[in-house]
Amino acid sequence: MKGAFAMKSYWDQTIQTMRPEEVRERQLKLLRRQIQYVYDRAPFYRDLYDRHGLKPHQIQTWDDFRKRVPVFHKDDLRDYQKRTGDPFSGLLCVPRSQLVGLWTSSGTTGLPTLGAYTRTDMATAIEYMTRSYWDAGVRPGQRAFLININFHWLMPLTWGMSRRLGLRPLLFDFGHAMMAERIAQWILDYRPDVIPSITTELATLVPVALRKMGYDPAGVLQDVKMITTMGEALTDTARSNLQLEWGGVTVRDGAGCGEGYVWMFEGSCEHPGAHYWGDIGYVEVLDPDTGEITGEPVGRGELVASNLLVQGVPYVRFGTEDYVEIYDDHCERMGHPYGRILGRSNWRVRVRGEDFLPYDVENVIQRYPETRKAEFFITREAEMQDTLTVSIAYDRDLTRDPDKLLQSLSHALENELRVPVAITWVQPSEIPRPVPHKLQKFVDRSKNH
Amino acid sequence: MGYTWGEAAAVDTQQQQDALMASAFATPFYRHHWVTKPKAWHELPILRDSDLKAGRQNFPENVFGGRLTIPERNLLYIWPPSGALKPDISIYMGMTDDERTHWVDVMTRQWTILGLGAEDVVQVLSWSNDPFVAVLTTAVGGASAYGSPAVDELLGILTVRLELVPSEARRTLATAELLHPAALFADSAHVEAVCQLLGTKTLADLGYRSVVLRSVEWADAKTRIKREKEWQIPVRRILEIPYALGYGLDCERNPEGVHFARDHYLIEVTDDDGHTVTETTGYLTITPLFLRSHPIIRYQSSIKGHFAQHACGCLDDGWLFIPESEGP
Repeated sequence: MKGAFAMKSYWDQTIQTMRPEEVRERQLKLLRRQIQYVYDRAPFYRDLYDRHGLKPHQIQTWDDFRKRVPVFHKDDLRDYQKRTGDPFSGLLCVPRSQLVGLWTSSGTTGLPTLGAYTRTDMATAIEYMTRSYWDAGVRPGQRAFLININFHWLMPLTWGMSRRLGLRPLLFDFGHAMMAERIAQWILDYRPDVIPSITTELATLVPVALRKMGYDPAGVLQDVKMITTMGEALTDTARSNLQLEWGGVTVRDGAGCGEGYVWMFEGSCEHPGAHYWGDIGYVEVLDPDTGEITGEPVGRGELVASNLLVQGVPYVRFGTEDYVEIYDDHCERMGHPYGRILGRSNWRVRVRGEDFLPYDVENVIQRYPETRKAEFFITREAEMQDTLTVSIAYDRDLTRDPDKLLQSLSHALENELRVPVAITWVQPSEIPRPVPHKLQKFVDRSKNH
Repeated sequence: MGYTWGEAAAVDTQQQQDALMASAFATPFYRHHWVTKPKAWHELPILRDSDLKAGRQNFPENVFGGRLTIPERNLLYIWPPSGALKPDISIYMGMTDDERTHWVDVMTRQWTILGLGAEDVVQVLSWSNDPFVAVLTTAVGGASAYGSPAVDELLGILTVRLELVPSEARRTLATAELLHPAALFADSAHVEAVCQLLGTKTLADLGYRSVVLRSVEWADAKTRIKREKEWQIPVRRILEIPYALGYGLDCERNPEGVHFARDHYLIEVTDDDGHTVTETTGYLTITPLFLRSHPIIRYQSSIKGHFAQHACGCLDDGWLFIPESEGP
């Protein structure tokens, strides 16, 4: 890399290096503006705020915002949609003619809902994506391998980022596990520098495919400088495994909420977790048990997102149902908050008073080659249970003695999680896959009992 | 002294052919393939998939197999049009911003002919390694402020991007129930899957005015009529030649035939030996005149057919090609 590009460590230094208090000041200003904007234009918000006796001018301080502005969820949008027939659930603030793109949610938790972009919104979204990739070290002229899902909100942003950064993109289809061999072949053909969005499952399978094709995966993949994993929280074990299998590649994890314009993407900072851009989105943490927002936007809980600049379909205090951890520490490099998305908030299983997510199990079972693909699910049997029940599929090519493996895994899980664990072996086809690119690692049987 | 419109168009096409030949002959692939500098268009050897694959092996310095006329960095996108599951040598395609603009022009005309216009919602099913969406949807291809508008923005249409696999039919139906799209671009397997979910409703009940079958498979006129009866909706067809960025639309007046925009494509029919035939059946052979970055010249597809012997009665003055096979 030559010249100015090599020297420039921030995409937007003024914004990225704002102090935390400056970020907070800007957020409040933009939230107040956004609340007035949505109240004036979006029937959903007018209805919601009127029912809560809220007028926009009443929001002057953070305290006003926290106490008065109601949180809503996807079900509220579905109800509004059913009641009124409005496909945008009363959120649309501009004439339809100003929209340049629609997208649907992945449908992981029910019927997909709609999102939309105006040209300006799209520029905003591409900006935050570009900023993240720049901070991660992606630079103009690099060969990028774009794996995308056609309906997904990420696709236009990744393509847009690629154009904005001047990458040389090779387009690839749906990141489905069954395409691992094809992807491996195209990596051999194109020799990409960066793979901006690959599911952890697929990233695990590409080296396996290369080995089957007669190549040394680490030898082939050592030319790939960076991969970014998406789709589910990346465990520490998975990261180490990928780095090893991909010949020392840098692994960055990214996750976000399309509606909220909240994108947590690991950049160049050394602390755990990833920044989100506080000048574009605002994140709060909701205790899923009490439904209350924590005082300061830190800690573990449901991610509540507000987008601060969106004109087309703004979200203000939207309960995303993602389970997030926002860190309390300050970063030396950037004043924007940081954290990580750990899974879905309704995928928690409470065992002996402790909450567990699929993430917690995955981190352990990926240490074993036989279960490295992490094809498993945890089961909620009751509101509170004595044992964590885990159903796992093991790799038949690598497993000599399933009984011994089961014993070893149980011991490791109990040791790490400090609760009794019951493992059942299942076939890979028994793991629910609500959409082709995602395994559902949680099953709720509590309602059947 | 002046030209009639037809004569002017012929001169323009000739100039484009000459420019293409000149730039192609500067590439290692065509020097190898043509052997000598070409004098006349019809003397040029035709191009088959096997030639393109051989190019990948003979000229391995990049994925274009010796066909690139410009630096690779000037391409907007690169993609392998072959399906993701075929274990074979891949042929790669690409496009520059300028080529994308030409392609947008082709598709904008097609959508206008299909009666799609301002305030319509259109569902476009595609693969994400398929630049079809980059051409149709500003949200993808134009990437907002950083590129020229795509078909939907030019026509004031809202497109919904969906995945072209039958297992995603539920999403197609869910968005149709919300937005009442005017048209669904899909393949027949996907439409079948949607119809199965419909129960007693019909596609027209959801607001669809037409289904446009997009696929390299070509449904002949009989099959089209059968599907129109089953699905109770007008069915139109696009004939896609992915390795030549070729997109033809069936003729409304003579539905057994396909028109390709004549100012963007040169269409010929050639036989097994690569000779041009005019009155008999042969293979659809196509040259995208706008594709300069890695020319595809006289690409012989596996689609058999012939030219209609009489002028087509519709307003399109392009060739009416009548396919006879189901395609590759």
